[in-house]
Amino acid sequence: MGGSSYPPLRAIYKSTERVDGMYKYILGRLIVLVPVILALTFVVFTIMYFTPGDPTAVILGNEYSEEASSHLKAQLGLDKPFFVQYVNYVAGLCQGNFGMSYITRAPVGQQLSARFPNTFKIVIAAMVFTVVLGIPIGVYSATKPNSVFSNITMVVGLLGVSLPIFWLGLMLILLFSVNLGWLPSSGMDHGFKSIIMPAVAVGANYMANVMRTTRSSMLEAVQQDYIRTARAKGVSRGAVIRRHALPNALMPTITVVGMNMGALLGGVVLTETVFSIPGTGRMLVETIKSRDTPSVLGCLVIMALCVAISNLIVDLIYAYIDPRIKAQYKKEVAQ
Amino acid sequence: MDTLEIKNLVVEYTSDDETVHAVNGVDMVIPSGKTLGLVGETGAGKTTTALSILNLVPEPQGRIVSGEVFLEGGNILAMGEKQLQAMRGDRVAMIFQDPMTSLNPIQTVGEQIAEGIQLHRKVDAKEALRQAIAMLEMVGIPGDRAMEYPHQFSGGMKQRVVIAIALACRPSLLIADEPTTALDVTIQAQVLKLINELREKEKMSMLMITHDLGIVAEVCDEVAIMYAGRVVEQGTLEDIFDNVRHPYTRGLFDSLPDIENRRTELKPIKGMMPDPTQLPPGCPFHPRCDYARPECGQSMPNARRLSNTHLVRCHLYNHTTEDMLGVKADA
Repeated sequence: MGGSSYPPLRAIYKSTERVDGMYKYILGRLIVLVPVILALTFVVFTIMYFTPGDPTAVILGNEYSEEASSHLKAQLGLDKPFFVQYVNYVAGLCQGNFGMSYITRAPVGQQLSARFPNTFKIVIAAMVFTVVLGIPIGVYSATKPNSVFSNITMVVGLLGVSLPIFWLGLMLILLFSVNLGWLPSSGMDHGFKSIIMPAVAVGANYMANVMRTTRSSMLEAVQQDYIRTARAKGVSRGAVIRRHALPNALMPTITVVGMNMGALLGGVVLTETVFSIPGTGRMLVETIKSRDTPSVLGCLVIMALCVAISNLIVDLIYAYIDPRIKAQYKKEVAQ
Repeated sequence: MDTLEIKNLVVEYTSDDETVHAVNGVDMVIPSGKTLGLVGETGAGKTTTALSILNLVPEPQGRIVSGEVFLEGGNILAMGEKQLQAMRGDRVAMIFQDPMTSLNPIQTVGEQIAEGIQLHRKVDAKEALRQAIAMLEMVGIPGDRAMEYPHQFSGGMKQRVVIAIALACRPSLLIADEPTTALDVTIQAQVLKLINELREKEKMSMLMITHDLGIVAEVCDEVAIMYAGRVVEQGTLEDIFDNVRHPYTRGLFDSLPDIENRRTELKPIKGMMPDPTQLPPGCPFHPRCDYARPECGQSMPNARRLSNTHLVRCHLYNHTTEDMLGVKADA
């Protein structure tokens, strides 16, 4: 069979390289982020504004007096009407200005940039821990669904899903810091060592979810007809798993990894508290307590951006893996 | 040499509390270059027989209990995994029933055709893809569609892709498992014609699994009728179509619609296929058989040779050569 009458391979490959539709899709998704962030800030701002209590009372403490309070309110712009305050805040946000903390009187942006990297490190470490352990264990236990190992992973998975983060965190501290003395119990001063326990504590639940999802979607994938087609072609069992079953089974796993970003950031609030880590999670708790509206908003905007961006990344990975979804995205853009 | 010879094949599926007797001693021969039609109702064991030829009966529930499957003289059931992989797709290939689900949705059709070529022909990816494109053109799909995905093809086109995958390495035996069942009637004829043309061109032997006697008449040289995991009647096209012997085969023909007289009611075979976990004693067809005798419920009839080519497994022919079914005796 000569190849002369067939189009050159390069011409064929070119047709798959047309991804221009994807850039438009990404841009569209980023633009949609703007109203999302606006809505978020509005809701949070409103809740903070109408929550009974006076921020100046918290700030002034024992030195509280009517006069000092109204003076401080004028200084912070709290004497202005609700909408004016909100519009001022949003106007600042548009210029990348998160406002001034009521308590520390320092720019919120500064605090965020000091604290967010800690949170980010823990989240990424938890994610790596999850993906590196969860997916292979899930795949392996699916290929041997009745083995002892598979049953053990199911039990561990169930434990992982049900253990509360704060309890697991305390137990880890008890074992690895107090008894064994291997890892620091708090803070971020020991580099990588400081990240391990918080990441495991916050990621255990997440990893168990990923493992269970991978296992069940793999079990489903290996039943599919195209697996039989591949086997009938002479592809070995291992190669069928790698090339045919796994890429198809990964879709639900990626959903779990990406969509649980929000839960992970929620979990970070607990982890950072248990391990006394100066991150945005603990900052959020502290600033809510002291009614420091600009700081609360700053933390939440950052977290919302993380969730939105990770969801976008998930959607892009989908499109990369599954051509049907890619076609769907392009159609959305075209409409 | 015969391309395929199956001797006394027995396959079971076991679950926690029951055993499905899917194939219960099938014997079958496909001479080189010939097409054997394997006909039977859903659940008769046709697909299981076919998967046994590839030694791909779904594990761990399915198990080949006994029997031998010779492919060009070599026993497949005695092969190791490496030999089996080298055989699958290269010497025996299979076209599956449902093209909608037989293709991997996230690989291009070109990649899927090229995969087998690369495995068996030991060529590099580029050459494999080039051959895959040639295969696509051979089944009537423009080669520049090789980099498209299954969802971009219609059902008939997908089945053409499945055919291209199966034929990519020029197998000596092609198994077609109801290749047109999932397709529109208008497409069925096209696909059937394509399979038949390619088979003749490549001088392959073929096992055509179907429940459609029309397809059998069109493409097969020989026919085996399967019921409850056994071949109940086997012969040439003439043996089966002109000298039908087994009451079940007779029932199959009677249940075909009559194109001359469309108002006549269909005459289905009474009753249902027996539950394969609890086959009736004796001949499994006897509860539905109009000609059943006392011994039919007691012992399984042996296969009886009526002529050089014609085999039947029915007690009626153990006692008398006269035709109990009211059709003309052999000339």
